Amino acid sequence: MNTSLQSGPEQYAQHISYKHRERMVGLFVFSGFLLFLLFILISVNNQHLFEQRVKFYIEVNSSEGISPGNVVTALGTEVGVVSNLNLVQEHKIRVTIEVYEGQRQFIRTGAKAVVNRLTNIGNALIEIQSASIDAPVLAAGSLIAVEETPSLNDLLLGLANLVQSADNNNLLSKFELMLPKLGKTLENVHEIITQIASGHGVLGAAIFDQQVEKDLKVVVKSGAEILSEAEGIITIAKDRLLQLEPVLHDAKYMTHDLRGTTENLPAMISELNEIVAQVKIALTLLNGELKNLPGVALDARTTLNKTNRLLDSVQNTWPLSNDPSTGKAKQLLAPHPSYE
Amino acid sequence: MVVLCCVLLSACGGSSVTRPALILNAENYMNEAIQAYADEQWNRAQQLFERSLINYQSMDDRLGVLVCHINLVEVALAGHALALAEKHLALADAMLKTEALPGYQARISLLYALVAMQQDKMIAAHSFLQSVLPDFQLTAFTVDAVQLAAIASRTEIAFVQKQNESLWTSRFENALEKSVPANQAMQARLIRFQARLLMHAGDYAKAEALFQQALLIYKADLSRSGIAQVLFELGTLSQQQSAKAQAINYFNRAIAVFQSLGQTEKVNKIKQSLGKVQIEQL
Repeated sequence: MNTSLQSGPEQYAQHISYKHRERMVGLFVFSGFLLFLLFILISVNNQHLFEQRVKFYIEVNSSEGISPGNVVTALGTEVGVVSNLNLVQEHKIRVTIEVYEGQRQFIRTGAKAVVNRLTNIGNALIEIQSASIDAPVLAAGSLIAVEETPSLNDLLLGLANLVQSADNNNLLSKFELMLPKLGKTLENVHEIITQIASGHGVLGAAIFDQQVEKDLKVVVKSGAEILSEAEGIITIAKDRLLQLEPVLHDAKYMTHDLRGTTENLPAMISELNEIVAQVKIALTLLNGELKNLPGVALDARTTLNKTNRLLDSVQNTWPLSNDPSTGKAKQLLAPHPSYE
Repeated sequence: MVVLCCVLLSACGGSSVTRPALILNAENYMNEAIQAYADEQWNRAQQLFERSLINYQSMDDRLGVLVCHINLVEVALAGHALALAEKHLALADAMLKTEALPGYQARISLLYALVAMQQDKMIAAHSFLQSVLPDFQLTAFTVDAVQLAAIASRTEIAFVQKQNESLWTSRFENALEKSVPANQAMQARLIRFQARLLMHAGDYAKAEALFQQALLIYKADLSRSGIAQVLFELGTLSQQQSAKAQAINYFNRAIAVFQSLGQTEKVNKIKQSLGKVQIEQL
C-alpha cells in the first residue's frame, strides 16, 4: 500500500523535470535543423535564386551552343546566365543575358561579349570583356557588341572544303611524289651537317677544326698584344707631351720675342721693294738686248748656210770630186727584191 | 799650192745664192726618210716621205713627186701596207704614162711585181717581172740594180712555186757577180737561197752553215728584217732535224726581232710554228 501512496503527486513532479539524456537528444535534433537551414541558405545564395538581376542583350549570327541557362562570365567569374533567345531582323538572334546585381560592376561601358564555341563541345561560353575598369557601369538593357568564334562544325566544314579542293587538284598525289625528293633532300642536309660536324669544308673547319681554333686564338692574342702595345705607345706619347710642356712654355716667350723682331719688317719690305724695282729696270734693259738676239742668230744661220754651200761647191768641184751629179736619182731608194 | 788655188777658184765659182728653203726642206725630209728606211723605221719613213711629197707638190717638181711616190711604195711594201703601196704605185704609174719622165718604167714594173707577190699572186708577179728580167740567152748580158732585184724576186717565186729553184738561184748568182758595186743584202739573199736548196736536198749541216753566214752578213749590216728571217729559217731547219729545243730558241729570237719591227703577222706565223714544236716536245 505504500507503493500506491508514493505514486501520487510526487510521482507527477518527477515526470516534468527532463533528464540529462533527453536534453542532449533535443539539442542534437535542433542543431540538425539549424544546419539544414544553413545549407539551404548557402545553396540559395550560390544559385542567386532570390538576387535581383539586370538584363543586357547581345545579337549573334548563330545560336549554336547557346541555350537558356548558359553561364555568362567576366574576368573568369560567373556574372549571369542566358535567359532567353529571340529572332530579330537581319536573321540575327538576340540573346538576353541576366547579370546578377552583385556582379554588374564587371560590365562597363564599351564592353564586348566574346562567344567562344570551341572551349566546350555543344556549349558556348559567353565572356564579357570590359575595355576599361574606369569606365562607368553599363546601363541596364544595353546591347553589348559581340565577337563570335567559329564553331567546331564551321572549322570542320572549312577543312573538308580544303581537303576536297586539294583532292580535286591532285595535290595529295603531287605531295606524294615530292615525298621521296624531300627525303633525299633531308638526307643531303643530314650529310652536310655530318660533314660540318666532322670538320670538313670551310664552315666545318671554322666551327670544329682545332687548327682553325688555334689560329683564331693566335689572331685574337696578336690583336690583344697590338692593343697592349698601342696602349704603351699612347702612354709614352702622353709622357712626351708632359715633357714638352716646358718647351711649349718657352715657345710662348719665343713668340713674344719674334713679335718684337717683326716690328722691323715694314722697313725691310720697303727696301725689298726698292731692290725689286731696280731688278725690274735691269731686266727691261736686258730684254732690249735680247730682242736683238734673233737678228744675230739669223745672221749666224745665214753665214753657216753660205759656208755649207761653199763647202758643197768645193766638194763638187774638180779635182776634189769626180761625181758632180746631185740629182734626184740619189734620193731614190735602191730597188729591193721581194719583201718577206 | 796648186790644190789650194783650185779650192779658192772653186769657192769663187760656187753658188753664192742660197737655195730656197722649200727645196732644202724637201730634200732634208727626203734624206731623213731614207735614213729612217735604212733603220727600218717604216712609220717614220712614211711620214717623212709624205712631207717631202707635199713640198715637191707645192713646187710642182714632177720628178721629185715621182721619186716620193716610188719611195712611198717601197716603204709601204716593207711595212706590209698593201693599200698604201697600191695607191702610190697607181699615182706613179699615171705620172709615167702622162708625163715625159723616162727611165722609171722598169722600176714601176718591178714594184707591180712586188705588190703582186705580197698578194700571193705569183703568176701576175711573174708576168710583171718578164719585162724587167735580162735576156739570159745572151752570153754577155748586163744587169742593173732593178734587174738584179727582179732576178732575186723571180728566184723567190721559183721557190714558192717549187719550180726551177736551182736554175734561178744560179742565174741570181751569175747576175750578182756582174753587178757593181757589191750589195751585201743581195749577197745574203743569195746565200739563203743556196741554203734552202741544200735544206731541200737534205744536207742540213751545210744549209745551217750558209744560214749562219747570212745571219752574220745581216748582223754586220744591222738589217733587222734579214736577221729575223734567217732566225726563222734556222728554226725551221732545226725543226726538220728534230732539234726541238734549238728550234724553239730560234723561233723565240725571231719573234723578238719581228716584234721590234712591229710585224704582227710574222710574229703570229712564227708563234704557230713554235706552238707545233712545243706540242711535239711534250
